[in-house]
Amino acid sequence: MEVLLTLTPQHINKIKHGLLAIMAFLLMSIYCPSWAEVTIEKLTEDVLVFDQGENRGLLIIGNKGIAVIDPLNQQVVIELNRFIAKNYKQRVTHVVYTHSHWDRITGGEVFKKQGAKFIANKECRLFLSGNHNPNVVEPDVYFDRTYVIELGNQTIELSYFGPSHGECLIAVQIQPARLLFIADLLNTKGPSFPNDPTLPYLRPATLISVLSAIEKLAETNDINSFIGGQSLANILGSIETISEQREFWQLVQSTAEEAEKNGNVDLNNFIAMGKIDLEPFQKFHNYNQEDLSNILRRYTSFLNMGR
Amino acid sequence: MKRIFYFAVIWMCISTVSHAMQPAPETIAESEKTLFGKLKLWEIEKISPHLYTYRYTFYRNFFLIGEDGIILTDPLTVEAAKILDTELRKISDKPIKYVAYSHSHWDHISGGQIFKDQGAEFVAHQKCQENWLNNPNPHVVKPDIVFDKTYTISVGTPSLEMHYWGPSHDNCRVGFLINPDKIMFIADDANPPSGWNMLYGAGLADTYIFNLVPFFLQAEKLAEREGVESVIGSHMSFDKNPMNLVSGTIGSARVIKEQRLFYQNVIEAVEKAMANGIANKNIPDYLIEQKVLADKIIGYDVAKMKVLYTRITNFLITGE
Repeated sequence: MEVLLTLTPQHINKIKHGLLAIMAFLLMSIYCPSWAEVTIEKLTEDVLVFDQGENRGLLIIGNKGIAVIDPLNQQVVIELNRFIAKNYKQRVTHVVYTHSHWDRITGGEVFKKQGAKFIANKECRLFLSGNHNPNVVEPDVYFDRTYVIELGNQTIELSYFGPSHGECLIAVQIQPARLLFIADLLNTKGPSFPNDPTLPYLRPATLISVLSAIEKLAETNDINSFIGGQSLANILGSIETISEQREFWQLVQSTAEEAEKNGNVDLNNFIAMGKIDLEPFQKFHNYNQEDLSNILRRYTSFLNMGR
Repeated sequence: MKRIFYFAVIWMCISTVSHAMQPAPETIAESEKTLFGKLKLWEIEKISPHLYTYRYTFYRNFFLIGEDGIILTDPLTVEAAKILDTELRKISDKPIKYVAYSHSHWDHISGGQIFKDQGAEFVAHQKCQENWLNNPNPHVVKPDIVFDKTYTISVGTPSLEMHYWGPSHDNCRVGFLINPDKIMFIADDANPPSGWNMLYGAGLADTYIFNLVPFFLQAEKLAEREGVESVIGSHMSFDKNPMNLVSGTIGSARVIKEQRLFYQNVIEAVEKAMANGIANKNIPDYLIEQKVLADKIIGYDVAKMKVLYTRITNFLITGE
């Protein structure tokens, strides 16, 4: 039989390295969101959601311009730019950052070059000014409490109610669709335990009042649904989730206060979990006792520090 | 042989001098009650003719007595402040002129009303004031004087410089420089005997990680410029093992640099893991498995390191 291919040890090594490189690429594709697929879906004629990896942003199409709410990253921006050029005459006139977290707001340079105005709450300045991340376009506008974007037949109202998830998370109201976009803090599945129980960005001092203010905003403007910033959940969530999520945090805080009062907190600020009633927590999505221990630990620290 | 002898003599001289540079605290008052074991609930130590420290439970402040009056810092709690007030009157009859706050956290700065009632002026960084307006506490006296970058208060010979280097541990912590002693105090960090000690709160709640290293670089710069040799610890600490509690009243100013290196090394370890393609969610376990920093961090605690690495990973993803 004719030998078509003879593999020397060098060949085997090359194949090994090649296979390793392919495996590494596949793994990176799974874990590195900037390489993941971008999908764009119409929620209404003028409100589109785009997803990549675990994150979700919005496109609002007005007859006088287009607003991008959280560009996510460079790859997403390239896809959005291509999609907009193909489907619309209008250009991107506004890019809104819902908060300062880089995983939602890098890569906006393409839109900046097209003349889009970048907008964020003024408390984001601490994290976005001075070029902490060269891939984040610094906002042109830092607003204080509210900012309105008119796109002709679409109006976007940005509202800031205080620190909650980080220093500068805002609520984005879209009219006439009567929708709210809340990028973090809420899960469209319903009231939930947070993804990261160490609560690195949570601002307990103002969290409850922020959620109450969002509830009021929804009520005043007859809004029944919100869109969340996580792509793995449903696009729309019931507006009642906001008050239910507020109740979750109130329950966490009152449990921590009670434990402090009863001397059930150890030197490391952990609560003796055996001494608290876990039942009220079990109805919340993603309930996990170990997570609850860490969440309560953050709250006992908050009660001591005021922050 | 002769060379070795000379080297040994020089080394002994250097060691003696470097030890002599650290003031030896003298306990001048302590509680009858104990916190646990033989550890007293509180104690007052004298550091120099005008500088004293006051430890209550695990917390510590310091105060300065000058010709013109007294500067107090961080009143701690209502009970701690009451005890301090009583003991202070046994040491000096000078008026309390100022109370300086190191940062905004209630566990350090509650209880000042007893000093306010005596006419003391309260001083804090302006951001602290905003924090207390956002979340008021009836036990926290609001500042009379707020400042932006630096502020100095004096009571004759002794004085206190307050330096703000941006957000770090909360958004308004300042570095204190005590003059003429040239001793520094950075609340909640840089506790003697080592800046490499495992953190108490590994989740770094209310910490602005992006500015931690720059903050400590500024503190080091000030220490170098002013010839600072010592720091006072705001907390009791431990030596070699978390079970070996030590007073940590005063120690070498090198803990400032060590504290910076602690944060810097942890951040760099996570950055390196990311650059090596380790999935974000696997980074804490990977670094723990690799025993990264395990031989450097004193009192290395796997559970705490997991929380710390998770926190730093999130910081590098989000910038916060």
